[in-house]
Amino acid sequence: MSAVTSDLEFKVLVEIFAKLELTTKRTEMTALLVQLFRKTPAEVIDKVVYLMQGKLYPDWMGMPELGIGERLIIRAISMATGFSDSAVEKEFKRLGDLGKAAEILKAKKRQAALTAFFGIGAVKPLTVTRVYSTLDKIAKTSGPGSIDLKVKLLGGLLQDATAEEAKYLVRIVEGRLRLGVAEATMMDALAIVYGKTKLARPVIERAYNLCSDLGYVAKVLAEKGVEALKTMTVTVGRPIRPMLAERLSSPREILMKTGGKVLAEYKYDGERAQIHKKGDRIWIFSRRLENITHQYPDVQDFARKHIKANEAIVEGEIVCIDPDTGELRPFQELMRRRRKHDIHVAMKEYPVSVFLFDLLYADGVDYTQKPIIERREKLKSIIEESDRFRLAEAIVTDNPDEIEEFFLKAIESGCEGIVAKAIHQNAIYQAGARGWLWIKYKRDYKSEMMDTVDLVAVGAFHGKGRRAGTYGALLMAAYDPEADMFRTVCKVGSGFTDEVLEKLPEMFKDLIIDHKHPRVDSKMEADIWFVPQIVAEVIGAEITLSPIHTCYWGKVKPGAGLAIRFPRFIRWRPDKGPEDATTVHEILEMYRKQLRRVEEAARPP
Amino acid sequence: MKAILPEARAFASIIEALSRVVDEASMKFTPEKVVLRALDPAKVSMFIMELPSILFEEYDVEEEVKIGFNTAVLLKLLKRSKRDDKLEIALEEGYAKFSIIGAYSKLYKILNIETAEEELPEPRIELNVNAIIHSEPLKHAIKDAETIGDVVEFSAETEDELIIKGKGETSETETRISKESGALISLEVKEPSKSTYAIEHIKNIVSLTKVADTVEVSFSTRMPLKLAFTILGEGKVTYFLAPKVE
Repeated sequence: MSAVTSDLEFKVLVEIFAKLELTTKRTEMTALLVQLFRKTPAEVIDKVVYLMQGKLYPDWMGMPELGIGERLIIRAISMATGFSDSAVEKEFKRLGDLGKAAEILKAKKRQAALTAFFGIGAVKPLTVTRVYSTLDKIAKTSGPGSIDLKVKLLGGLLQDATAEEAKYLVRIVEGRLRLGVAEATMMDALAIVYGKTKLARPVIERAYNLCSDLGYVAKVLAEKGVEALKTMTVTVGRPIRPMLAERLSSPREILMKTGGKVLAEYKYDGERAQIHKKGDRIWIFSRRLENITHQYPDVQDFARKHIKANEAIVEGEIVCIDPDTGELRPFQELMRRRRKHDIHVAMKEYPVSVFLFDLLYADGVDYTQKPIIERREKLKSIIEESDRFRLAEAIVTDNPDEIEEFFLKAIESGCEGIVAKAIHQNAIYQAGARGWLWIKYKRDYKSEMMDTVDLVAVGAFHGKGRRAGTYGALLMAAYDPEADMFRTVCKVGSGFTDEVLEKLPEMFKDLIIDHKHPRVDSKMEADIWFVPQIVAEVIGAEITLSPIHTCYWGKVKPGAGLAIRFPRFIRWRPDKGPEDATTVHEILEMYRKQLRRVEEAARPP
Repeated sequence: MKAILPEARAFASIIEALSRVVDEASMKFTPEKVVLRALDPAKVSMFIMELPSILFEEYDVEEEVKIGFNTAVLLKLLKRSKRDDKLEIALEEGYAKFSIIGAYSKLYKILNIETAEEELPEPRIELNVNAIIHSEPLKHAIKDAETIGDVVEFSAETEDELIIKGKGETSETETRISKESGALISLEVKEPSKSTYAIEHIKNIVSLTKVADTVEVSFSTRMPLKLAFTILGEGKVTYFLAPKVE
């Protein structure tokens, strides 16, 4: 162990913790942090920053957690106070707060340390270094007997702690140190202590956004000053804090906010990922900057194969897909994938595609300061696109109707909506910031589909891959009795068993015609057209507005019809003739009945 | 330096108990003896080993040296020893060399590490109850107590018997060790005493009962427990444990 030249008593930190708990005012918090940082030697400021956040490292490092649960903490408190486990537990139950229980029991000043009985080894006050390195050892201890050692190490800290220190130590170990200090407040305080002028604040923030490690930023700042932070650059393997989007609910407002012209991209419903590549080494970070590399061996492979730059940082959305049709699958499927224990089984059952939308770094060049169009062009040039790893669907437009149409198409194909991005010269990548350069456009309403419908097959699309030689999907229509027409509502490719699939060409062979049937109303060009005759039962997730499908065209909304989102084939209905199919009126009725405001659902982390 | 112990297995038992107390420790070799003192990280218990030079078949230590080691690593090596194997300990350029010598000899080199622990002085404490008992009944009393709770109580009212009680939420166990039963060799009670200790610590060193026929048990009310095991004739392992409060 190397000698620490300069340290901070843990007591000082804890006193600030206690004061921070009593306030919610940002100015007061800042003042307290300034007090703390002024007393903190540069050598330990990183540790102070991590401990304030109740952690030992930035989350993205994927370092082991403390791995010490309630039962073990009780044992450690028992060791440190001389009270039996059950006495500690009783106190815990009474107070409902383990930290508080530790504090009260410690305050009773029983002799618990053996050395106290011998009058040897006077207790030295805890220091930040001792606390940090002991917690670090607890986290890193593994293997047989490690649980006992973890408990004893914590017991040793609590043994030497004051009552108040014990309370906060327990909170840190429990992961319940919630001081409510935002990172921004810490940066304010760092700027006041180490920056000579207000100008230091944006420099600190930029450095933090580039490395996502506030402890590291604080240490560089304290040891080398603001100038050193200015030269900090993007590092492959360290996540960049993601740029976030504002939200609006009309194309006109969006255009007004962004300067009249946008790059509109599909907002895929999956997991946002920042993919780092350095030679063959790949890192994948989530939106919350957790290291999720191990969850996606498939994405690692895509990145290795399809990113042509030697070093790069790209951003994209990982989405579950139907490998047979290439269609997007709902977000829930990705959650199911995550719950699988064996990642290789999960990869097979829930294959994913990656849709890339940004480039932050490539071979020595930091692209975060460059405008989006340049970023996107460079991205295109370094990606060898494939079905499973390609750029997000996008258009550039200044026309609100085009945005609306693109939006409806996105929804119907299974996306959440679109993201419209300003494309002027100042539209840089604002790491860590939510701003008006990017604007989300999502649905305000949706209509969940509760019942199945019976639809007529009016066309088909050639299958690819496993479905070569048969149909990949069928174009399905509802019946319009007034006009005696069949109007399309979806393309169904999911839900077919292998047996059904195999028989499709045989089943439809006598109905094939070389042009669209006159009774069929379709804007979509099928590969093969049928005489409308065969009826199938289909279920979907929602009924949604569509710029492609013609059911009730222009009646609910100009330039849009009704369509079924995430349709699945259930079974054939040989008992039904084409005129017995669900009518366009019934579809409209279903749409209206279930139309609800979309709640921003809290997603599991 | 070089030292040869006649029984590698006995040393393995000592290190087994030690490994449950600390993860790292340091042995000090002086011309007279080998001493190891270790305080567990929670500072609740202390482990002291003293092996005088006469216990060794060969003992060549001219000046004081220290061998620091990871207890789990050393234990793993020593577990490879068989009955009647000897153990040779030597020091060479930053490495500690442990050779198990039997029908053939096996040499392990492990890095001589510097342990963080500062050197502990020899603890001095007066306790009111001092008993010498056979080690078997102690082992069983602890095992019984472990099945029902997490503390064990030692008490002695008179010089006739030593009582070891296991205390759980709803049940109790009791082991009486008296002269009549033959398990008690001697008992001195300066003041009637009763004190409680955590089983999770005591059980760590119960393995020493394998290599020590008798054990000296000392305690006082609300004071530490001292267990002293005599090993290899002149060798000694002493264990101190802080009391629990009910």
